[in-house]
Amino acid sequence: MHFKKKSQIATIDLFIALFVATALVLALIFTWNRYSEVLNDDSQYRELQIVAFQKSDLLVKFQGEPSNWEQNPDSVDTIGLASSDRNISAAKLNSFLNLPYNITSQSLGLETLNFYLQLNHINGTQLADYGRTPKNTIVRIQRFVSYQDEKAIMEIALWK
Amino acid sequence: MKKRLWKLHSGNKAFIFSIDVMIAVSVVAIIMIISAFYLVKAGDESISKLQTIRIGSDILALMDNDGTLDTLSVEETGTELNSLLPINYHMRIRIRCNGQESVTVETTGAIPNDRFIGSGKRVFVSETGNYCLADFNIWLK
Repeated sequence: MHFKKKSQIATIDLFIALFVATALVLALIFTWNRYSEVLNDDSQYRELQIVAFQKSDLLVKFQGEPSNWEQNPDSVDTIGLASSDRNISAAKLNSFLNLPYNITSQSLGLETLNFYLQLNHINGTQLADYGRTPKNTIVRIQRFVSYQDEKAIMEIALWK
Repeated sequence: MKKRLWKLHSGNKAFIFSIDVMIAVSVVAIIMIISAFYLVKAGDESISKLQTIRIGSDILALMDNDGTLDTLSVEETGTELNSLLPINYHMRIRIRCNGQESVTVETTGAIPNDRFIGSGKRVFVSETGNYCLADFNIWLK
């Protein structure tokens, strides 16, 4: 009888251990999946950030290719809005605003993404905007620029 | 008489599985907590770091373009800095030119050591033809 009791304790212990171990394995699987999702989201977010900063650099630092593309916007290869470093050209900006969305997104290499660009005076007054209205924006960055001898903020939003 | 390892209610027998599971749970829980901590921490900082450095770099470029840096004036540079810098940032700019004393403009006295400090440099030629170096430190309040 004494021996029998010991065996039952061992069996109960085994079941408890099995239950806890199963719960642990399930928790691990759930956590692993959750971490994979978080890491994937984070990776996409970082990639979008880098793209956003690269494209904003392109727009606010370079004249574009060809450098006088605003005179013949249909021939644009790479869009740049600067007349000099962080100095936005009004002529280039106007030409950019009149270009169709598919041309600008192709020129900026953003065919697989959606973008929205906004130029605001430093006091918050909107000077120009272009692109698709953001719905679930993932990345939104701001660049300080000069536009028509006034300080302005260029905001770029990117999303998938 | 055998010596007991632990003074358990039911003796020391038949708890091998439970003890094993407890150890396993503890180890896994520690690993999961540590990995969750680093996962959350890694995601937080990247955007603000990049944005912080870009803001500093943009402000210095604008000051270079409009000639503010050329003046080597603490007052003018300070006024321009305050008009451009977003309210949630602090920034310090130091300008050094050949043969002249350096000029330092800052929105606060001390650089903190408990957060990310963005920094950068810009080389420019002053109106007098001297080569100058402007460097900045920028951080979130």
